[in-house]
Amino acid sequence: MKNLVFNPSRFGYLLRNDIELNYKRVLLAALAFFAFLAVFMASVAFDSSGNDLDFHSWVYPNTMIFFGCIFTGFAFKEMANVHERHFYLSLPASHLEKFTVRWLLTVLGFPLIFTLSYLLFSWISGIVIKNFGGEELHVYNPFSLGGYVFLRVYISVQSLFLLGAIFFQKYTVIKTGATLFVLTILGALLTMLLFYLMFYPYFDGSIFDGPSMDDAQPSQAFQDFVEFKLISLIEFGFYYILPVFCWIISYLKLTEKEI
Amino acid sequence: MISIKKLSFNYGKARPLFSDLDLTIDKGNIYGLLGKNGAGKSTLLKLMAGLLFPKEGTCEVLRYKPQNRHPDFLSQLYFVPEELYIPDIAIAAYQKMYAPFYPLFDHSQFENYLREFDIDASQHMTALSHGQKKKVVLSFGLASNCPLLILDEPTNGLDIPSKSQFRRLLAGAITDERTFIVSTHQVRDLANLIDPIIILENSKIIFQESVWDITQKLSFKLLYENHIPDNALFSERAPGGYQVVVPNMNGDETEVELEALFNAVVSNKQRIQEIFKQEKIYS
Repeated sequence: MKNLVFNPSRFGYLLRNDIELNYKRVLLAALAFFAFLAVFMASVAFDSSGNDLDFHSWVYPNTMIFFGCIFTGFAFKEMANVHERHFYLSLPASHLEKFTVRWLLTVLGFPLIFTLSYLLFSWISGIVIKNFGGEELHVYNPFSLGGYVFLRVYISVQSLFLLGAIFFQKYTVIKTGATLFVLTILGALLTMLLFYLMFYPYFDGSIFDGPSMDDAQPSQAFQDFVEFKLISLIEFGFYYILPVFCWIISYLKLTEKEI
Repeated sequence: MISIKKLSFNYGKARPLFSDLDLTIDKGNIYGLLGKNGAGKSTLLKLMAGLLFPKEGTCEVLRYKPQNRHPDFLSQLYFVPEELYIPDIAIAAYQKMYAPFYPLFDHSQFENYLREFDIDASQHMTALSHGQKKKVVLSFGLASNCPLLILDEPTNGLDIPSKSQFRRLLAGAITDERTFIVSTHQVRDLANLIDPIIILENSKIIFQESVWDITQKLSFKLLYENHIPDNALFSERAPGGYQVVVPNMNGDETEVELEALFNAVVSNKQRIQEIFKQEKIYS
């Protein structure tokens, strides 16, 4: 085995070991999820009001992101226990190999397996429900535009939870979720404060009283900046800068881990 | 093989555990690292393995900086901790999954060691007791043929026959190219096995000598109470009299009693150091 920082055969062994050690647990969780989903789906399909036939277009992305966050939050579960941490950090593989295995399993492995399983589930359940006289629910199309948008959202959120998985030692999912919640509240408060300072002359004491804000017409240049540049910049930051930044910090945190 | 210079280390904001620690370890020996509980033995071993990072000073092991945890470095070192984590799999699966990471791993040796310890390779790890798990990991470490094998309290959890099996296997596995570092506070378990002996006390290396030098400078005797000499470095009641450590003024060749040596060094640090500084203490 050559002693490179990234050795494909060593990487392959790590990946194989991770899959062999965890597939039973993941399979069990997946079975429980799809069993629950089948019951939920049947209740929608046999509902006499029959007003929600686009079941999959909201269940698939939301469940993928939700369970993807949980799965990613446990990416470095060894860190929660000192003996497991000892075992993991002593294993002769580079930090890059160890990180890449977990990154690959969470950023690509999870959405791929989840989507394929979901596709199979929606196809089988659709046939079963139709044969029993329920409302026809369309088979989920993973290649739709909505699926692509949610995949991008998933990758950004995954990067945050991967960082949480290595940053926190225990209760990583809860702590990451709570941190994101607090940061969102702080961000909202900061934005409000910024608006208050920017539109102070039009602010009459209550929180953005409607009529007085009508006078606050920004210039065309400002409107164009917000519409064509600011939103694109925020999207670029969220979809590209944020994940890359979080992945790099996660990798560096792994190199700094002690027991 | 290991060179530690002016190493300082502390956990968080606690007072320094090590400060300006120096230690050199050569290849081809089974080093015994002795010390009381909390002396810093495990911490020192973790620093050598790159599992903890020094705050100051340098630590070089197998020509690598351990804290970089380079895969080549990790594949030349096997660390058996006091408390183990073993994945929930069969022994054979463990061998298949983790042996490829150690380029010198010998599968037939591993199976032989397991046989010696009376462990069935087809067993599942969850079916094993703590002592049996330790035997599996010790067998794996020995079969890895890593140049550096670190064993932290290896005899904890082993039954009486396994302790002597362990001593025999360890003595048989050492070569001129390998170094074993065995940390323990149960010195009797390692009698006639470790050489040189390192004693860690209050976060300092207070003693590091080969067994040959120890036998040249100190005598270990069992005497009656009224025969204990005035220059005794340590004496303690033992079955059949008193276990006494005295400077070897007559050139006697006595067997090193590890427990008595440890107590003599800890209780008479300065005098022991003076004795070992002298070229020869008998004429």
